[in-house]
Amino acid sequence: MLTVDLESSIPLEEQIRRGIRETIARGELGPGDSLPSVRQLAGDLGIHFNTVARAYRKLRDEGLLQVGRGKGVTVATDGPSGEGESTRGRIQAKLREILTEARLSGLPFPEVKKLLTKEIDRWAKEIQA
Amino acid sequence: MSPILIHSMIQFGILLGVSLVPVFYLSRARRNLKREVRDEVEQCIAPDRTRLFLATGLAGVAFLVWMILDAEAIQAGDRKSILNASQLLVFHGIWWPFSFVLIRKHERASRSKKGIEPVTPTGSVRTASLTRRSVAKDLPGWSRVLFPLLAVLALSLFIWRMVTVTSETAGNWVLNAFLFEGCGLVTLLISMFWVRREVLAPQALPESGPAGEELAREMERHRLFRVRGVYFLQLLMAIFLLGMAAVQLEVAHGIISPKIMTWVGSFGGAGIGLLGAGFGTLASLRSFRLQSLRARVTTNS
Repeated sequence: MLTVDLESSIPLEEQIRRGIRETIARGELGPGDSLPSVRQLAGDLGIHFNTVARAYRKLRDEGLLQVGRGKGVTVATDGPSGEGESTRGRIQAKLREILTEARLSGLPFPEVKKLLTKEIDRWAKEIQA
Repeated sequence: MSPILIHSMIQFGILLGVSLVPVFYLSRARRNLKREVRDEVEQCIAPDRTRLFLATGLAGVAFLVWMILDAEAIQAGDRKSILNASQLLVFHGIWWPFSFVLIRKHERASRSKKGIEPVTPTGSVRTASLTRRSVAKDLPGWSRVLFPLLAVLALSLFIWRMVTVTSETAGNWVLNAFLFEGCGLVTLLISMFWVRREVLAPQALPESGPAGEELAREMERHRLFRVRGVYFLQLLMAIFLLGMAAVQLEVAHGIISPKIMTWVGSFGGAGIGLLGAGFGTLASLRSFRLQSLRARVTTNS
């Protein structure tokens, strides 16, 4: 399921992109699985199809989706590898960003650690289910 | 009274009887609803019910007239009468397209009514399924192979039997067969377009919560029921019409007697009519249940 909030400050395109990434990461969508067409998803969500098309294009550029003529949109069978040095570096940079935001918001590091552990546990449970 | 007229009247009675079944069911189900929900549902379905009454009435009257004229023509031994061809034109050229247009109007009207099946989702938080809806997923694989296979087979048989007719007096049967064949192929096409349109139609997901989830599940079940039901019913109708075309060509060849053809046609038609009415009744009941469920969710929220 993909949920978007029209009143959120996060652009719709970004919400769709994050939603699909999360669904793939959770394993709800596996390699080769078909996604709804741009017009179908736009119709279901009641938004412009260009917004969905932009989100799909970004995900294709990231290597998560494959767009084949006549085949529709599918989850890439050879997605980005999680073992490379560049992936580790990218995740480390994102964690630093989160920690900076927590520090600036006044959230102590142990609290952040708790949140992170809780989130990892939740994901693990969902993937197992 | 001649046996053929009695047969026609019995057939008419069966069809009229089964056409009225959904109406009785709807009235009974309506009485069981709570007053506040009943009024809301009543407002939503009243115009569609009027159309259903009108369509059934018109079809019934047309069918009765046709049956009487047809029986008289057969009694008079006027087999070459233009009536045989015109009855097909009237029923399959006018009644089917009329019903189809009516169904489309019904669907559009139901969707545009607030609280029934909105095409555009409302509210700031919107949810959509990431599962691709496709005809391939909703129908069994063999049925997708059956369509083109049946069409090719029927066309080849039809052409072969048509070109091998030698009798000069078989012209009317060939014309009849040609019309039946045309109707069969049109039915196949309508089915394909209808199923595709229904499968790929935008479907707004209802509110979250247990009632909303139940409604979503019911909506999906109803959609699948309609898609599969209409597909198989139309397929059966097309097979029947193509089969009738083949039988008529065999009559033209002098292999099958016209009497057998009449009985096969009458009982085959009545059988499919019965199945259609059964499907219509079930679809109406499910649709009614869905509408009352939605009305309940709307009233609660």
